[in-house]
Amino acid sequence: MESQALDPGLPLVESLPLPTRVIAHAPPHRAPVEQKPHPEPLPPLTWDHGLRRTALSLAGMAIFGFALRTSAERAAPGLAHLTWSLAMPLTFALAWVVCLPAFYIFYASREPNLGAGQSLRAALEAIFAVGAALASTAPVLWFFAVTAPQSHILAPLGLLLTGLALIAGGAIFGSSVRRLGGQLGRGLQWIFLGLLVATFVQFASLAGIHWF
Amino acid sequence: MESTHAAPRITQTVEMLLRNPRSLLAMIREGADDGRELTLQLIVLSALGFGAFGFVVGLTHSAWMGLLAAPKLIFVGLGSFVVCLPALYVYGRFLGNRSSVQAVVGEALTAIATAGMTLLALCPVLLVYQQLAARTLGGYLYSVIGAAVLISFACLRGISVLLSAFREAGRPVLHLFAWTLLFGLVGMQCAWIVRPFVGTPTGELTLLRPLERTAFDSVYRTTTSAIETAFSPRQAPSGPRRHGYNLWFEGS
Repeated sequence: MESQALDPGLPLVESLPLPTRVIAHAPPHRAPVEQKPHPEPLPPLTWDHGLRRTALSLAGMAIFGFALRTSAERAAPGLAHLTWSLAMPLTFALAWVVCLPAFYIFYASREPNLGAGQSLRAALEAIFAVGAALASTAPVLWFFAVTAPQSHILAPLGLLLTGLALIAGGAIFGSSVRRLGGQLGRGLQWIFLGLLVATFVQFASLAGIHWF
Repeated sequence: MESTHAAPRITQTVEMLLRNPRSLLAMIREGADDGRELTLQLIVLSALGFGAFGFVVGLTHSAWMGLLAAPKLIFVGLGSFVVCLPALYVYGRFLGNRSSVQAVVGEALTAIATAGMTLLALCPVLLVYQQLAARTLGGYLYSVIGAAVLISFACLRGISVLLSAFREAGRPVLHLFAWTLLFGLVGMQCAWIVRPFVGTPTGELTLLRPLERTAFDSVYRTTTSAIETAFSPRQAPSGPRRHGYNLWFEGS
């Protein structure tokens, strides 16, 4: 696998893929309107870079789990918060472990350019995105949990921030699949996200995580 | 990133902020002086505007209250920025903004500094409003609402300047709406935790109120009370009462 120069500063967030960026390859003899833009291919991921980004994503989820317990339980920070810190990344990873084979069997195996490796890569990109999104909003949730512990907005805020992170993950997953050569339609993409979210919520409730 | 420009002097930064924010944003994007001096200048300008406005807000009660309110309003502007910054950057990336962390800091500070300059310009307006109009309309409640309206206007102006500069440069703007929403929510709560800024006219000087309820409950209650008072002036209470806006007075 080709190695790439890594940014020593913020490896997780700096390397987030952009879902909207495309490169138009317009041949000279064809009208531009007929040419479908090709998504920019995803750069290769080295083991080192991948492990580092995975660790940072899991840490981001753990930080959000800590803030979420402060918000949902209205409890002062303590050791019990660490259980949610541990449970949040674990449940999310488990949800992917359960749902990714379904994605591969029902969709990726029928795509000529998409294999198990590419599916896993797209899933990793989604996990990186969700980790970054959760980590970035943890200070906001924490701030509201500490300054307005009796507020009615805490529960919807926690739910909203989790939901936004999952949607961001779903969007990045879809764009990564397309950048890796798949032809994933929007409908199928959001159906898969729905399955993932349902599985995540199921595991989260088993682990004792709640938003209300 | 190598710097391609030297940082401008603070007077030049003010000039660019007011006349041509697009060139300032271009300078930030190119990494002028590694962004440090420019960032510091924008922080100073933000603090100046928010501080001056806070002082005038507090002046309704007393000069001491003005001195207390000035750093509180600076904290609201810059504290909210610190809490929101990670989300601004990450969600900005998701929504198509390709700026680096340093550029996002500079862009957000440009909006805050523009809001600060707007607040500075509105200080005389607020002063006149506090001394004349607010007293005739019913006093304290209208002072609070007047200040809140002017602050909201200044913040929206900061965002609109950023919005038009981004549009002129052909850059994506969707993330700016998310910024506004997030910054507004956090800013409101930040202001709530460091209240009072005005202080009840007959009350003693208070540094901080205890944390009770939320800014959002308060906004709802204040708005309904103001409408109630405006439309039924004869029923407005002359002294403290258990319900209505006086309840909010005690906590604000």
